[in-house]
Amino acid sequence: MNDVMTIALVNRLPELQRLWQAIEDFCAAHQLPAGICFDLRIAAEEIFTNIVKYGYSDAAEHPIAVELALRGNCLMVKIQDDAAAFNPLQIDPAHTAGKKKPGGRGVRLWRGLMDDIEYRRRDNKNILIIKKDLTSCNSSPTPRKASRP
Amino acid sequence: MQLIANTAEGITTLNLHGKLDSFTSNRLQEELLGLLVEGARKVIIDFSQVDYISSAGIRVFYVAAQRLEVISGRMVFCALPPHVKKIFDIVDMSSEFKIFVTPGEAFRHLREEVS
Repeated sequence: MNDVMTIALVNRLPELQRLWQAIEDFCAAHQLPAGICFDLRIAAEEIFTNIVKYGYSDAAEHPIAVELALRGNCLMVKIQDDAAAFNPLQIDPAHTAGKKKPGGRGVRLWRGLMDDIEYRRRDNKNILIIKKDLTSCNSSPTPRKASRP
Repeated sequence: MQLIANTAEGITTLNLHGKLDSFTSNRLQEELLGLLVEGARKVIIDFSQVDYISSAGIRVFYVAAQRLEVISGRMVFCALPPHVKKIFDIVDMSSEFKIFVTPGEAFRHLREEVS
């Protein structure tokens, strides 16, 4: 498999299953540790569902492009969408700290799992790049293999 | 995701199996709040068989905690696998909920707690 994989999605929640499958395929093809795949899976869910739920003011179908790339010891995921501008780096991760409110933990969660994040707004598009340093992940807790079908 | 609930000595243990994500969390919320409607007031959530949890799953426990506060109930967690513990730590859940290593410890805590 190539070191770059692209997936064309639309802003519908069931598409998350395709995104997860692509991540699993990519991780398997590159024999990435299960902990990396687990972290990516969560980040993908948080970012994708956030775009789908809050990004658009119309009900139309919008493209969301995802690119997975392996560059040396760095795993990068680029997510590009034409949703309303949203810079996750401007979210204060502490805004839910100490508050027992149900929502608002998604950004904090995926930011905590990733090693580096880049965001830019260009041509009315959000371009988000999340990075995972593969060398720093060997000691991450590894999810237990599912024992059931 | 599968849920198995058992009640003994007024304490309900909810064993969760599988993934708590954007697709399964609605059902988890229905079932958990349903237990409270049916009268459960002391609840243990056993995470030992949870493979995955995202903020959609996390949210359910905060919704339940708010409900429990209103009805003077208690909810504690137990048996967190390392990958779940990591997630809880990132979002500070570990400091906001009581977490026990084993279901037995959680059970004894709720049984002995003066309500």
